[in-house]
Amino acid sequence: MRKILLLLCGTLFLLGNLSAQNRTVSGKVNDATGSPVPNASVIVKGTRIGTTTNANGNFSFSVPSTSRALVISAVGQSTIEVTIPPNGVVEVNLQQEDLKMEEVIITGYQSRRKKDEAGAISTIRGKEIENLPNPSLDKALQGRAAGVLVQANNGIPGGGISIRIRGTGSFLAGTQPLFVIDGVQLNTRSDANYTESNPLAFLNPNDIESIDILKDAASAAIYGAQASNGVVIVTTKKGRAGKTKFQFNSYVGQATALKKLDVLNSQQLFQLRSEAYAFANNLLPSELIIKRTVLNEFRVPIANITTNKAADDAAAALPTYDWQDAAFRSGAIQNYEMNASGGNDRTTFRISGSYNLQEAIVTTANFKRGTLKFDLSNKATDKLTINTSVNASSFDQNVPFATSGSFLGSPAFAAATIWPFNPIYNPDGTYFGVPPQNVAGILNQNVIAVNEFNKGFNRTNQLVGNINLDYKIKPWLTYRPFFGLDYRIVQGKRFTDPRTPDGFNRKGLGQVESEWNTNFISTQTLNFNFNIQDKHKIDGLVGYEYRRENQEGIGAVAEGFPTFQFTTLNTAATPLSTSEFFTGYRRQSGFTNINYNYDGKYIVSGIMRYDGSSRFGENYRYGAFPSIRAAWNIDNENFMANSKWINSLRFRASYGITGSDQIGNFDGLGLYGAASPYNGAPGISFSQLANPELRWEKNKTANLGLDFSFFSNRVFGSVEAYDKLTADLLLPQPVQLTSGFSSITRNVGQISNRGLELTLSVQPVKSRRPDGFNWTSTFIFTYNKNKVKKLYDNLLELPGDPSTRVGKEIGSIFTQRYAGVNAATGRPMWLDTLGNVTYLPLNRDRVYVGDVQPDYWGGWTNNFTYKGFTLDIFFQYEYGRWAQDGQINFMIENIARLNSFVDVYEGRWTKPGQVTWWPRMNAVGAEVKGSSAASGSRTWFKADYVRLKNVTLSYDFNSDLVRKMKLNNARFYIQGTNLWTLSDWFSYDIEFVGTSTGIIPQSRNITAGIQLGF
Amino acid sequence: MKNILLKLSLIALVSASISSCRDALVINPRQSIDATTALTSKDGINAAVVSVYSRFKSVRLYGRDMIAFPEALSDNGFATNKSGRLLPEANNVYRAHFGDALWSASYNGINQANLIIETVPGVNAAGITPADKTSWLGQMYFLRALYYFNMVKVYSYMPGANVAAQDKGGIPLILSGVATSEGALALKPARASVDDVYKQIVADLLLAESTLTASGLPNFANKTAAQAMLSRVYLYMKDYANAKRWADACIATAGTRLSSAAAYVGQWRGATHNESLFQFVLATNAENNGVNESLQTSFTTLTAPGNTVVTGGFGDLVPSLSLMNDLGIALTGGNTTTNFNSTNAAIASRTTDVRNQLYEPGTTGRGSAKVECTKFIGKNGFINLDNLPVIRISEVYLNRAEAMATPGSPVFNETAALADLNTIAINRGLTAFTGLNGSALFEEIFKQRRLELAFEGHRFFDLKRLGRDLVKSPHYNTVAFTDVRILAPLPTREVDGNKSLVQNSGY
Repeated sequence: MRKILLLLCGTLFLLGNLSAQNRTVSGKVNDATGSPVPNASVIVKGTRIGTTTNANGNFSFSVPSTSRALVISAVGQSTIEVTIPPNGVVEVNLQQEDLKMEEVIITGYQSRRKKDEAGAISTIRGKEIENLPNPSLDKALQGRAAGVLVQANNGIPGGGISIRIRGTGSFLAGTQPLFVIDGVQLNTRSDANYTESNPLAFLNPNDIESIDILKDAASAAIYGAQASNGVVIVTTKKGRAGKTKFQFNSYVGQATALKKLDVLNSQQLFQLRSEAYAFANNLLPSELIIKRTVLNEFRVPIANITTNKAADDAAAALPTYDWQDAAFRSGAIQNYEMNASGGNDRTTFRISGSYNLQEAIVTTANFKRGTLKFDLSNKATDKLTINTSVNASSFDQNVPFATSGSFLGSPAFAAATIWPFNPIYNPDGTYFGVPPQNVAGILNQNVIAVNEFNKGFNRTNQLVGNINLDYKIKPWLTYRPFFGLDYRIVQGKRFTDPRTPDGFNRKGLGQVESEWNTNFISTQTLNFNFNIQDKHKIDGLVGYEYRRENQEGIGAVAEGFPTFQFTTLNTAATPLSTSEFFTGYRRQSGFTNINYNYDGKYIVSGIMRYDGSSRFGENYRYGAFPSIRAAWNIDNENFMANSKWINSLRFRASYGITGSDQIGNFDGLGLYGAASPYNGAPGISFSQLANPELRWEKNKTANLGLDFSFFSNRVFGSVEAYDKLTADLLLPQPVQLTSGFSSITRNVGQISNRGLELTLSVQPVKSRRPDGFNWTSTFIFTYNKNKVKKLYDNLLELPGDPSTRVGKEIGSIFTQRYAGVNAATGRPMWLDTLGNVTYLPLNRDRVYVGDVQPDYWGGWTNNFTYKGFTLDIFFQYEYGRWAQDGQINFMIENIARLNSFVDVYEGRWTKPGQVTWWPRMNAVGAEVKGSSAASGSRTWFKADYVRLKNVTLSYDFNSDLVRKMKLNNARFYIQGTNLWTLSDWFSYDIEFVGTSTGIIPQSRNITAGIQLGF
Repeated sequence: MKNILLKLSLIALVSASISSCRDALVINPRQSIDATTALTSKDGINAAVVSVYSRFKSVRLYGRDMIAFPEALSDNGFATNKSGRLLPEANNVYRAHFGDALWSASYNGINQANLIIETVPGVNAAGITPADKTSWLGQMYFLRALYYFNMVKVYSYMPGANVAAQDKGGIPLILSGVATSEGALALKPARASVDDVYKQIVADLLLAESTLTASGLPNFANKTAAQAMLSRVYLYMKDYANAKRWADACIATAGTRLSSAAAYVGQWRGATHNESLFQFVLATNAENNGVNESLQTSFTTLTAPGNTVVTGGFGDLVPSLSLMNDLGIALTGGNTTTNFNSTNAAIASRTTDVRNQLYEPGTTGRGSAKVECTKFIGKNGFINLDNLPVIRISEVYLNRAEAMATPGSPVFNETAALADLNTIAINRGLTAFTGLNGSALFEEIFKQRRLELAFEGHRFFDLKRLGRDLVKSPHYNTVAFTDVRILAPLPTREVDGNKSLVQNSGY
């Protein structure tokens, strides 16, 4: 932190005296009611010379003597232009801004007024997501933009996020949108092998100025073949001319577990395990031999237990330990950041640094990030401006256990499922059950010890930056070369400690990896903008773009370490393996966008992009992606001039085609790849068949939109309806395994997504005074219906994958319907095709149960302001999704090989005649000639929920106090995340997608912070 | 001046970016090579041959399933539930059987073999001799036969032992390589008849036998191994004359490799058993199948014979009471009557059969100790690293004995069969049998086969080829030969995508 400050000061010193001026202009800026407007921007027209008003709305600065006019603007106010009077004193009143419509949005290679745009674009301002304790920006989009579905794969700080814009439009190719940060198209693939890592975590979300989401194909078509899943354009904060301003911001807080699972005590478990053994062998749980067997398994010495009473006493004496208490903790959250911005008529800059720490709620997992961002803009000549933006970032993630796959060693999974009579610690405070001893049960490791001893670590160092020029060839024509780089290196290390069961016999296992990714982009655009007479406005651009990405990595594994203190591979006795890989792709494109605007009333805009990608077959490398958009600004019509209650009204329509190439880099080639060696000799085998016909996945979307603002802008919002058809889907199409191959990547089938999006804001209370009580409420609603329209070869479902079926959603659940328990025997039953119960359902008995995508989702934001207080309350919701949870699947087993839910204990079948949902215990899991009890629809649950996602209360100290403290502004805030949830989900977290077994759940976060400007 | 410079550099930038257009999309993979050039050099073909071997090391083939499942599914194994693995198979839970990966890995290996078989005759690159070509082809025929034999044993009934109403035939025979997308998409094969599959296996083994040379190393396909496999395959086909014929040929060259009783246990402690005619070798620890599914962890908790202090693997599958009884092991402890092993197992007494010395109590590190099989105990120098057995000379003697002791056999000869049986018995520490004939002789041969080959992946198939029920008392319920669970299901995705392919009954 101190270093960042030093660096900041040094840079500021250099930038302090860059130019000289020669005339002073001063004045005051008020709003419509006459109250002073602080922080209004005052710029000399046609230059970058400017300042901002102080807390009293006053400003004063020197300008070149040639200056004629000032442009004055402020957040929420209309922009005004005034001529500088001879005396140099200006006093203006700004009008309340025409909400939303005057916003400037970034639409891909250019920024435009929202009112001139005809596509479906959602915009989120940085302010809306400020200070949320999310390591990455994608999480913050959740529930704040209609049509955008954000789901967490896990609660690992800095972990992966799944984003779907307008539904899933692909079978198995990528479904994440394209992220563009300040013009650099990011690679959002996670390269970290030892944890879930989110590449977007490199950016401090508080450095974001705005996020524009291109949702319809017509808008996104400017990004052509990468835009099928939508485009998220992130614009970071830049410097502003004026006196150098400093902002300090910090928040600290705590993350705690959302809930603990209600698991059995040792006596309940003893009972279940006894029943499991008894029923599997046609005995009674009360028989002594059963009790002795279970006691022996529970490691109670049984030599002297020869009577039922002795056995019962021994069972009653079993202790119960709370492993969840030991595994979960409250994690610290800390964030510190500082930025400075300023400049003069020629040069503006902004520099910011931040440090962020988030500890997971599960033992030693955490996330630490430092960022440094630098933006500079210099007007070299009247025609040429040079801009640069550099974001350097490094984040560390400690995760000592595997976050996917091998979940048994994860305390997030095992703490609830380990047999609870196992102590965690020995009486002397050392860990119980570490090698050569172990812990009783299938989960035979002391996960608390293992996760303290083992080390797992990923560090991501990332540099995202660009240099671009703005060269005005003619007043109406600008040439803009842009060069960007997204460089990332991921280092990973995992050490399986020799004191843990997995490391004991091999005396420790060390693994290291290093992967680096170079993603270079160059964009050359010519932007034009001219008027023909007064009413015809034409603007647009022509461009060429080239993007290349190389990804390389190396890794090594060794075992046999002298002691546990040695963790570096050079100290290991036996090297086990080394690895290296390379992959990459190239893409080049030409594109154009032409917008025509007649008198502010009628807007027509066309896009054409021509893309080539190395990922496709020789015959189909290039594809064309056109689109057209139109808008009618009804409020600008003469007949609307006298409307009392309509402030703005516009209708939009668009149609466009985008593409996707999110498949493997070499999927079209016929390849022999490395195979496992034999007898010390290396092997190769035919690994992939060639498909020279491989081509673009195409997404055609029609969009209708309506933007409105009524009743003095007290009610405003927009409605969008879309019909999105994705065709030529990229699919690893299964072939008969008898061919020696499992699939060929081909273009097959069609998927449709149809939906409705609503964003509605109302201001139920609006005060006349600026510091009065105001309430703004925004409701966001999305409906999306996903449907597979067509597969190939007239198939109705993908072979071996019943989740993809014609006429149903992608991810539809097609399985045997669970029919409860036979009251006479306690055996689980399912329904067959005829609706009869069966113990052994067959494949043909599968029916459609539901699907894993929500039908409705969105959010509800409420913003209250009074005097210096601001209160934000944000809910999010999802409806219509079904989910399966690995943790639940294991805990509802009828085997009792793991600890279970109290619900299972209380509900299980124990005697004939009992009508229940939970089958009887059985140590084998499946009854004789029966299916496994945990199969069919029994493992699927509805995942509807409403969650109070975020509450923020902040207070801005009043200007007098602030001035006394020699500050520009001061704000105190307190925040809570995941505070309340309405759902009947009984595992850790309803927001999980995927099987989630052993994944760290999300947490409840409480933070408090302060923001100071000086 | 400054302006001109600027303009010049801008023009240079633009032209630089445009001139690169033509090659802009060229990028080649580095850890794979173009399929059309792969099999054109000696090194390339050698490496491709390696992959046909190495696929067998997978835990879904000889790495575990081909060895452990026949023990779990039959009456040889009892699942301890220490990791939960092999428990469903030991209980013959519906669908707990050989999985889809056996099918996919085997057909992948078959395709690699087919491509090599088609390419090799026409290859004329530097350094390739006619002897190289013969050797490559012989190895490919041998391995292709082994892939088919493994699968047809699992998915189909064996010749002469079926439930006719449930018999859906053999498995698809794919004998030409698939090298194009069109070829793969067009392939929708039906199941060949059981007889045709066995005929193909025999044809391949005969070709292998005639082209391969007898090799000292059992790590690669060799003439002796082909003869031994022929005796086994013919025995499965109930073609006893040929079973004897090839056993004769094999024993003539390799019969002396049979261990004496004194040397037998020691042979199991070295990396390669002297009796081994063919095995898959795991040469380096990078090939280790790991703590969850290797043969060692599947069968024992021990890390070294006799050392019960250090717990290694799980010991998921241990000998059943009936197997221990046949081996001559008497137990003290809770599992003498039922599977409720409420005390640690200890061995009260052993007979002179040296084979029972390969069974001993495991550790108590993962619950109560069970008597475990120690045939696989990290013999290649690392825990969980053992070579994977395919065929040993002792089996060939038993093949011949059974061929001659089976009623109705054209080579029926009880005296000679008894002699072979005694060759095994004497070399295992038993006294020679006398006066055995008829079914008593046959059953003794079949029992010795069980003892000799226990925990090497035979029992389920041996019972199945004779059409016998799986009598698993006292541990588990009996599975009748007529039960659908005798056959494994074909992969669902395979049947879903191919109307010509018929699923096995009951799935």
